[in-house]
Amino acid sequence: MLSLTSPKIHVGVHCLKLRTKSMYIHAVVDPDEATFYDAYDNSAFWCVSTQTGFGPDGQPVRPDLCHGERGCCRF
Amino acid sequence: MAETIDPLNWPATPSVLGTRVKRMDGPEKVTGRAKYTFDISRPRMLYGRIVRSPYPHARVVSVDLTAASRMPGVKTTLVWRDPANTQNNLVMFQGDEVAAVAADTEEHAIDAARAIKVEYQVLPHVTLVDRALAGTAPAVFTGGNVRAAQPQSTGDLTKGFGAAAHTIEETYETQVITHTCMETHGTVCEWEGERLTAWISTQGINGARENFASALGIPQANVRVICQYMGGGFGSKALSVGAEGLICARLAKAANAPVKLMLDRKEEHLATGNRPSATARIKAGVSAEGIITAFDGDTWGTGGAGATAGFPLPYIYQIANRRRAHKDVFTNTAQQRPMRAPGHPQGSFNTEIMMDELADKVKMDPVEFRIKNLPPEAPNAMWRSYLREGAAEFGWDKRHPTGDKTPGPIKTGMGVSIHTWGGGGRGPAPAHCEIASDGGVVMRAGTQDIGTGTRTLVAVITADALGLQPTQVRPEIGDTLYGVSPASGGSTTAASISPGIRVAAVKALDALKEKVAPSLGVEPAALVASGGRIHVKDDPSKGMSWADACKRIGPQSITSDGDWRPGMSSTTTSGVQFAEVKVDIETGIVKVTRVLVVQDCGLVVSRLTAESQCYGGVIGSLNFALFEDRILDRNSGQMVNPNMEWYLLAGMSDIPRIDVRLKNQPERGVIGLGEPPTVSTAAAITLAVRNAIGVSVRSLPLTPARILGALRQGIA
Repeated sequence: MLSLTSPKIHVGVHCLKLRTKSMYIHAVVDPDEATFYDAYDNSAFWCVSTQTGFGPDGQPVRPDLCHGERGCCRF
Repeated sequence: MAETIDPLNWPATPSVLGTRVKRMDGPEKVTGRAKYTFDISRPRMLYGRIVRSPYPHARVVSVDLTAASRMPGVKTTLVWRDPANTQNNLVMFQGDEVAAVAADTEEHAIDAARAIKVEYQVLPHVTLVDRALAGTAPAVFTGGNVRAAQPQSTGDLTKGFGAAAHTIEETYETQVITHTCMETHGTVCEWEGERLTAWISTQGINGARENFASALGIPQANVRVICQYMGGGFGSKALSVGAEGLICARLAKAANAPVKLMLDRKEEHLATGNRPSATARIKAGVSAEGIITAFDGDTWGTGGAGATAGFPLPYIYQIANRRRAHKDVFTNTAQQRPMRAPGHPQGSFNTEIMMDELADKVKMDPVEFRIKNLPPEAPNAMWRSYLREGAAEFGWDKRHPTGDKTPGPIKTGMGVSIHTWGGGGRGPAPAHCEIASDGGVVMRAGTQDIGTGTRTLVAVITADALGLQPTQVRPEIGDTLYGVSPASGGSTTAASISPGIRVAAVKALDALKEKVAPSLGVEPAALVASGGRIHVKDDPSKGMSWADACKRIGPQSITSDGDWRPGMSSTTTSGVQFAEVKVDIETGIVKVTRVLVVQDCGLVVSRLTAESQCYGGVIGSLNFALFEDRILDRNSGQMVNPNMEWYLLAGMSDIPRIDVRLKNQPERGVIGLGEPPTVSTAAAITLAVRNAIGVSVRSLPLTPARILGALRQGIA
């Protein structure tokens, strides 16, 4: 089971080539947001090497898939 | 002790901020002088074309470039999906990139792309969500076609349903739609040795620079990205440069010539992202007093091949006892990309239709029912006030109960819905101001205008600080040479860049005052700028024109820098929308006649552009409600309407009267407005239809067939 909250990408944990929108856009989280709705995950991810949502191995990229098990991961 | 006023902060009595300033780039756009990426032409430029998979799931067995390479005008070819690489020879959706070509004309490139021979081994695909959920679809994705998230639970459902006087159990659903940017995704790439200049239709020039550099293995300092004008971006251009951007750069490198690669409309539909579908099977209970006591939801959606599809639910309303379990369904379709308020339109629709159905159960007016179930009012939660104000202005008291009983086939109805969006912004978002001795003012920032009017915003803030008119300011943006700035997404641009612009302008004015003060025999602090003059604050007659003041600058221009500062921007907006429709119950055709927008965005910087955001948001959501639908063939999994003929969008005659009431909250600083107004229109329209015809339509779009189907079911 996975968390509904959007996982963050951590250096040393996730592949250095994994990207998501929040790395380029500086939104500010309102602490009250949690009172308006529960957490949900709809983050889009991409591999900086392919510039698509698939890695060099052709498989989708996401934090739960890009933390070392794949041969293409880089740290 | 008197409160210290920070001169860098927003002024208490602005001169230009919040006024209706015409767009700075209007003349450029209407005369065709504005250069979009599509308009860029470089000496010796070639044209790129991509060969894409016609199948939703297949293995590329061979790619034969021989014939294409011999075609007239062909300069280079490229294999993207190498058949020999068993790790990467799969295509995962219709439109997935396989190969590419560059030729001297667009026609030659198209001909050559047709001549590239690709042999596929077609593999079983999953494109139907219901089959994936039922487990009857081919197993395509590692770990399964369905990914379940951790269920969320708050309160006591049993107790909640026990307290309910009425319950409903229904399923609500929104469809997949594509971004449909008027200017398609695309790039022009030009190399000079190891240095790349890229003109790209992007929401983030600096992000594009980092993506190009990282993908190509060159220093970021070697990449310059330019986007002066952009023909529509709703999130899909805020991420990577896309395979098409990378392919363009590689073709240009291989051909040793600039290459232009703009996608066509079919590619745009197939391969540049979409808004995920969202289905919610909900059981909800309401007390006799109109308080929602329980909410139990199972939800799912598809964001394509291995991508997420979450959305907020329940949306905004306070329900103490609730449970929700969500599943992402993976399909062999292009991956989702964030689309204008990602998740919120879906959450809004799936919540708001339920709200009116519950309101009818307890025979309450929908506005009053909503107010009963809202969070407490606060600057970031203004729905109660906006609902009451909006209802009064819209003529809500003339709304009839569910179902228009007037004779004849044309039924009218009204609907209401609410929304929120975070937005906000922060730095680094530096700005650089120059004032020259000829009186010229330049404000420069490494941001971009994605069609929302950022140039105007830059000019308005600068002019306000300098006591000038916006036309006296030259905004320079859209080029990475102008510095670092965030991408435009999440409604964060205005909140991120506005403080730095204000700070840079005020500092530049301070430097000008130093030059002017000796001539007037006063201290610089005694001077102010207003009405195109620099003068003594308490004696406006003692001063000089802006032009005369700037003559004292000398040959070396005044320069100053600013950056985002805390306290000058904020986050979270509230909005309410009312809609009125006419429905022909014989044809099922819906006509939206009126929409009222009540919306805040913190400090209103540029009123006209802010209102434009609301118009655009409403129109986008009207398209979502009535027209847009990515339709896949049930057998082949291929999109049957990847064009502008059968993928429907509103025409001029479909646009209703739209009234916008912007609520100014200057004390909160700047908050973005790109996304909020597009969240709830679809729900308001759908509820207006429900009010008109007397039955719920629980899935979008509101096609004539769906309206007539709902009527038949309702009558039955």
